[in-house]
Amino acid sequence: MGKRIAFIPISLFTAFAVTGIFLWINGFSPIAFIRILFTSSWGSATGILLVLTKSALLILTGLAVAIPFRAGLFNIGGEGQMILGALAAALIGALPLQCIGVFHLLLCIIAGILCGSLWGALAGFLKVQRGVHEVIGTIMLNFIAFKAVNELTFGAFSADAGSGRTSFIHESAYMPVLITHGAADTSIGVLISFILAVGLSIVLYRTWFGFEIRAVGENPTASRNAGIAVGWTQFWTLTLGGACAGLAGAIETTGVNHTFYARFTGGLGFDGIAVAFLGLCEPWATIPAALTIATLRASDRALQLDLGAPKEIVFMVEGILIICIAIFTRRRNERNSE
Amino acid sequence: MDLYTLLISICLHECPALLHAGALKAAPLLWASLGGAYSERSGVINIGLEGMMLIGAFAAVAGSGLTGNPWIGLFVGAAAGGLFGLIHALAALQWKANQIVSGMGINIFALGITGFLLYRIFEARGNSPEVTKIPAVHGWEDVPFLSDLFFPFSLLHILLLFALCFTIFIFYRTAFGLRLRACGEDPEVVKAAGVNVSFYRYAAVVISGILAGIGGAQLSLSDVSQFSVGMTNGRGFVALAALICGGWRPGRAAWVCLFLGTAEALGERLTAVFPLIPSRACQVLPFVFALLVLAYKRELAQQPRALGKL
Repeated sequence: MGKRIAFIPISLFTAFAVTGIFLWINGFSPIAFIRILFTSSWGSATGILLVLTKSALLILTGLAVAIPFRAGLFNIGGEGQMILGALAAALIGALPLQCIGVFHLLLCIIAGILCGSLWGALAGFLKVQRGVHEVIGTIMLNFIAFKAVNELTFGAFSADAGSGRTSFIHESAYMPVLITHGAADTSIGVLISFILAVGLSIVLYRTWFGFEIRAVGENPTASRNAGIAVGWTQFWTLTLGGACAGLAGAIETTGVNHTFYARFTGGLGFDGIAVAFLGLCEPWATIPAALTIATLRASDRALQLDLGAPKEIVFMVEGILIICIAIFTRRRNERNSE
Repeated sequence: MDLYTLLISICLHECPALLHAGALKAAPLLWASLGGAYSERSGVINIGLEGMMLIGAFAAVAGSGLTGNPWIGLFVGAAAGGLFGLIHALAALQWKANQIVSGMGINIFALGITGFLLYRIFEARGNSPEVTKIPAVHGWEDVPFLSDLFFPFSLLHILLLFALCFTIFIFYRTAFGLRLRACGEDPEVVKAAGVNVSFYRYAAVVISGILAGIGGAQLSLSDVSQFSVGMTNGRGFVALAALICGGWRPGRAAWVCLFLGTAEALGERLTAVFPLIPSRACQVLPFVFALLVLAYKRELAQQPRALGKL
């Protein structure tokens, strides 16, 4: 274990060192960069709430990558699955169902999960039945989701012509607030994602389904010989991954935006890849990994205002981090690909 | 207007104009697809094409903006793409990283560094100022059919046709291409034959980056004349999908790119003619079609056997 997690501080250090040197060459102070990064995120209650809110999404999109990867599958479609989940939740939330109280919220979340898992299942079907590599399948499904949702939010589901967003959802579909501080708050979506991350770890290590997932990921041939339905397991893990991403979208809609617009994700779905691998594709470890990435994401605006560096600088840190992780986790990958 | 004149107008004007618009849209895709062909046929998954296109697009605009010469810009763009290819090659081959994760890292890193350098070099956020673009070729204005079909195009499009023919020639008619493809099928055998597998793979991934970089330059320096953050907008992924739809063969990938470009152009033109058809809905069609083709023609998805394995 010790050897396995040693790469995480090394990767983080490398990412910050390279970015720091790059900043220094360009006349920005790397010290100020680190200082603003932490004070704007962990330095105030508002910042902490923002980090928590973002980490809820990141945990779920991280799980959407981590769970399928344990079965040897690469789900790049988290972004599309999340967008569809968010749209479904927004549409159900805008229906006049205030009379059913909290079930309205539940309906929204279920709709989000269903839409996300449908998109994941589609990738799973294409992979298992038609032999379309899941990376290409999910990338294509991402584009279909982006373009279709873009059309729908400007067209059929638009609140008013050309606004590019759907109607606001009713208050009965709001996610209950967990902590509030001044104008900032965070919903119980954080709790849900934390519980789900731990719960999926238990599923992975303590149930038949989890065992099959890991077996298929370690050695598909041996699994098939042992009587595991490899195709079905792959199909269901991709569906489960899609469900996690769909839930992320539903939480964002019901807990944060209370409406849907196509650009709301800002690439958080793709950050799931960084989260999953930073957490070694262990479901519970997506929690610290998501907090790390959320820290970066929460401070981008402050970096732009206080340091004067463009906010894209956090993508540099993240990109280097992902490349480092890709390099340092190679032993695990070699085992998985056999 | 009676039906006869309408038909004439469609045949003589609309169809060639549509094909022309489609070919223009296909060009950046094809550059990246050709790049992907080198890398993937040598056995290295290159999902970082998107990032390599993006850095190429930016570097080309930066080069052209700083020197005033678009050809220097093109060269800088290609070099930047090649540099990113080298990073991917180092990660994937030297340090044996997971190639998909490394590629996604390249994409995100490219998004970050282009946004940062855009601010440093042009003091701009979002969009760069206009720079000198690669000159376009006009001509044959009074020839109804041919002028619509062929003009205008930029000199980069001619280069693209050369690159396509050259790639096909290299792949199937030279020892270099044969060995490169063999590296992607069975590196052990190639090694046993005394060929340096690493060299071929490094060369392939760097060439792949250079071509994707030129594809980015095509977008920013030939189609328009400025850079905007994230302007590749997933074209690298589409190019990869086109390559796979084409069964990892450069010639077939070119047809798929042309089809995808034409479908996109059709979506835009349909809305211009029939305002009731939503253009954004038509943009979905190429992707749906590509997925259906992949799902239907199973044998097309026969990837190089050693792809992603080291």
